Amino acid sequence: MAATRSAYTRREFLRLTGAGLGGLVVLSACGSSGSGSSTTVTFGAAVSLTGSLSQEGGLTKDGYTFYKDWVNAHGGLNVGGKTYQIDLKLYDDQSNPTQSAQLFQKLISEDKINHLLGPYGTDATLQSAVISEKYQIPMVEGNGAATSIFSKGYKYIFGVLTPAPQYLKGVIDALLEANPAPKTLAIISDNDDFSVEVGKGVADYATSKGMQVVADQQIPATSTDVTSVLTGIKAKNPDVLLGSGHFNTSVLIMKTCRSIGLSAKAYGFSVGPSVPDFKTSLGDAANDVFGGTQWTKDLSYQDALFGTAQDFNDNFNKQFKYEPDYHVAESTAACYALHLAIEAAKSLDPQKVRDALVSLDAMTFYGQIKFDSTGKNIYKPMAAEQWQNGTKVTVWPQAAAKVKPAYPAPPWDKRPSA
Amino acid sequence: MGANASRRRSLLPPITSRSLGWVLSVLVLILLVAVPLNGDDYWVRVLTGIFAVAVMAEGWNIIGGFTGYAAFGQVGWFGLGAYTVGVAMSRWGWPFWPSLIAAGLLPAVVAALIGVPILRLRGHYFAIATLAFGIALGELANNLRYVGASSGISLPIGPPFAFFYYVMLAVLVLAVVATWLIARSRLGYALVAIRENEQAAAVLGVNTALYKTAAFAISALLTGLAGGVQAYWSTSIYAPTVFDITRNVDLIVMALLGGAGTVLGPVVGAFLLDGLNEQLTGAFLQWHAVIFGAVVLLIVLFLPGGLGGLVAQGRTGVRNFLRDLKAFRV
Amino acid sequence: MLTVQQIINGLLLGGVLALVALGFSLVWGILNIINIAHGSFVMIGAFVTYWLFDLFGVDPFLSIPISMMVLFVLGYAIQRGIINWVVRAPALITLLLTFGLDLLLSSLALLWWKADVRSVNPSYGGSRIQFGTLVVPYVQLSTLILALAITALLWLFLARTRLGQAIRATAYDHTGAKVVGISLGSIYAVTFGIGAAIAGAAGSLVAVVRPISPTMGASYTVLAFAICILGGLGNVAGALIGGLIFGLVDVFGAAWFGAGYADAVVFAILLVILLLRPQGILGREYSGGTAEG
Repeated sequence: MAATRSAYTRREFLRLTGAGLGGLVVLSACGSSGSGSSTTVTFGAAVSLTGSLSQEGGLTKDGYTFYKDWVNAHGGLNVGGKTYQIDLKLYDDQSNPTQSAQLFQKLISEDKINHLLGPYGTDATLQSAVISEKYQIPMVEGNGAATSIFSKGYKYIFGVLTPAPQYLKGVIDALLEANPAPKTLAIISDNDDFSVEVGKGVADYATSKGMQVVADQQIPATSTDVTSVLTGIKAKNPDVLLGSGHFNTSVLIMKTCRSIGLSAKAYGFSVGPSVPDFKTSLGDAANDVFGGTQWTKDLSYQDALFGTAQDFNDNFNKQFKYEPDYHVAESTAACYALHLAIEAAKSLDPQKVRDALVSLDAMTFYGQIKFDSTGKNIYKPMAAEQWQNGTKVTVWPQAAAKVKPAYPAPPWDKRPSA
Repeated sequence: MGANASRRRSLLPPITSRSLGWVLSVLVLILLVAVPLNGDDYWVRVLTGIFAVAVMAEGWNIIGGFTGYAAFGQVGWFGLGAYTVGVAMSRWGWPFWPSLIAAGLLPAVVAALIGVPILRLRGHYFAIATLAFGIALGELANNLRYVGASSGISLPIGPPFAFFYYVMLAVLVLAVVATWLIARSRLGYALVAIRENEQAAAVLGVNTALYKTAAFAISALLTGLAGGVQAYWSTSIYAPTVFDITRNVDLIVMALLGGAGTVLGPVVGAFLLDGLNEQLTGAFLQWHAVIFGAVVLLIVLFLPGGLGGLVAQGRTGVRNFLRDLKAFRV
Repeated sequence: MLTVQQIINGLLLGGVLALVALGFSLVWGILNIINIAHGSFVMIGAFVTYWLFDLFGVDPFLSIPISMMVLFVLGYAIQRGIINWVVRAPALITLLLTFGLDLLLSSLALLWWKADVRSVNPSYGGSRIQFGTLVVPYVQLSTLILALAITALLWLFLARTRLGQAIRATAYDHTGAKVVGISLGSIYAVTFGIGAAIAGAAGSLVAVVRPISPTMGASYTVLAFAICILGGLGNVAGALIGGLIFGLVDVFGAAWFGAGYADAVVFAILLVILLLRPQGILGREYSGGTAEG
């Protein structure tokens, strides 16, 4: 009898506590955070500073930071005669697209940010664009290339980068200049939207140029083992192996190619070779690898704020102690596009800025920035670069290339051992 | 007569005889309904999340608390429900309500089907089999191109958040009412009989397979509904987030903390524990997961009274706790 | 020829998988504990190797004894300090405990090491032996040999040493063991420690062949479970055979269904085994609980 009573008492206690908690929940208030000062404009974004996309996220953050520091030192942002300093509010989305969306939600509703920059990667950009659309705040991004971002009829998303299907076009163009030109092609794509679009884009383009696609496989984006897939591809003996995915995948594929002895005449990746860590991770195996690239320092673009592409390269290098890759450049370019739109609108009002973005047409250190009716930048061509003897060089377009592409790549047994 | 009454009462969830408890619960409900009218976005968001977890804990309670089959893969149903709404709304253009109904029905059907083989397992084996199934579902979602593979799915933009608050609260109320009805029904008695001694129950003519499968399906249905609402609410779903296997232990601990095998216990446990988690996340952005893990460990180690059986059999109090500990340790 | 290569790949992988399962099998068979934190032990072993390589340039294979020691101490402490208190509690409690432990360990790892993916890149990473078109990478071959060696050592330990025999005796009849003066608490702690140590060794080997991250653990726990079910509990030979079979399953599953479905394929096979032959291929050595009640 006593035992039964104490059982009720415990349950009673818990129920009361629960009710009490519910009461507390209702009664307590939660203040929202304040807004910035009246002479600062804050750009906000969630970026993948940790997680599987941390390499690329770090580059994005550096690109944003360089913009802020450079602009603040060179005249600030001019809004209808009044000068503002720029500040950044960045959160870590841990390479999780849902987290990214939630953080953008927080930036808008709690931090009261009216000017948004994009996260890294198509997945995060896709999910976050929903938020900016919902709240009608323009977001200018430089790191989400899939056309699926722009096919939803959204009016508040703008991408400064060349869309995904073009990514490896420059690599194919560079390869087809060789004599004898490669004939067969194998493609491995991560199974995310961006990589699949890149893979399909290059497959279509290569086929239209007379090449034969002997393998076109998809692998999980977070693969830790590609031995099986590559063993199958090795049996088909392709001339060219192209990988469409992110940094980790490109490194994994190259390492596995070396360990199973898959010697293609050329290797190319959509993301990876441009990232400085590519060489550190692979050592000698990085040589002769091609990368599709949105920008290199050899391109003859320039603008009033950042100078030429080479100037941008040197100034960034001075501050951050490494040469910027295209992820850095496109991130700075995204900030700059927003900057130019605000200046053109002579206002900080999101609607006016959005309208200014729609009619923006500017040549920058990064290339031409102009958006079509869906918000993507179809006016800037892709380039290609390659690692040669431990240095990254531009090999396409030919006007910007100082050296010819190195082809074919020596087979693994003929290379000096790593 | 008195002895019989107390024995009967200890089998029934105690709540049916506590009207004070009901009054309190209704009061809390009224308070909760009033929250969005205050216009506070933060609490609307936090509470909607807590409601979702409470539904999941209630769902687990039906198969774990009442039936004694500790499932470790409930998050699989949540994710399945979320993806159902995601696919239905973004790929097939369905409106929300039919999608939500599908989000409840599909997990229930899958649970009924997979339950036939899996519910033949017991204890450890059942636990890991359900865990493995939950993981496998997440993997499928993360790899099938049709459901977006690792890019996930983005849904149409939904109504303001208060809408989701109320829908999730409605699902929670549904879960509680369903549990209450089950507890007083033949199904409920059968489940408790299965938990106490399945072989005896079978010998006595209880159709254990049927009732177990029903419990499994109902728990999947409720959990799937929560997932469906979550999907439309988040507007974007991504496999690793909706199929987060670490949530499995959270909801079991919530149910145990509040009282497995009771009607409101898991809800209380969910409010306490998830409320704690939310405060921890606010206060210790970096460390909250670690602290929460430690708290979970401690709760499991010091669970009062529930160690000898999953419904109170009167074994509470420090003395009983110490005696249990002595019996369980090496 | 392609199929032969795939078979070779599968067997090479299988050695490491067998080691992953071995520790799990030992703990389950002898202590009747399903250690959901097992995957975290593998992860910790992998990171010990990674950090030793990254910070001090220690060759990954040489780091194995270190990771084994670290995990042994960790496992012993956990068993002695936490799990021994609830060893005889209902299955749910120990499952929850080890699950909570897993959560704690992987959260700590995420906190300290971030969610980044890392790899160990030894200089001999690309070398291989070639037989015509068949390729056997050195690194994978070494991991297989080491896995077999550790398995053999464990078998010898259990069969030939006093401590090993005491451990086996405890599993057969723990009351009888107490009667002859074996301290159950210590035996349990040592056993758990050994299980953790083997998991650590497996983790070190995994680090050499695959990229690692703090969240890698869960898959390995499920895999270990499936391998034990296939090969029989507490059964050294069973874990080995189960591991090799699952290595083949992994490779051919990836080739036929696509690499993303590894866990799904494992689960499907697990389900089939549980339904048709719960005692596994080689049967149970210890009566560590039956599948069906």
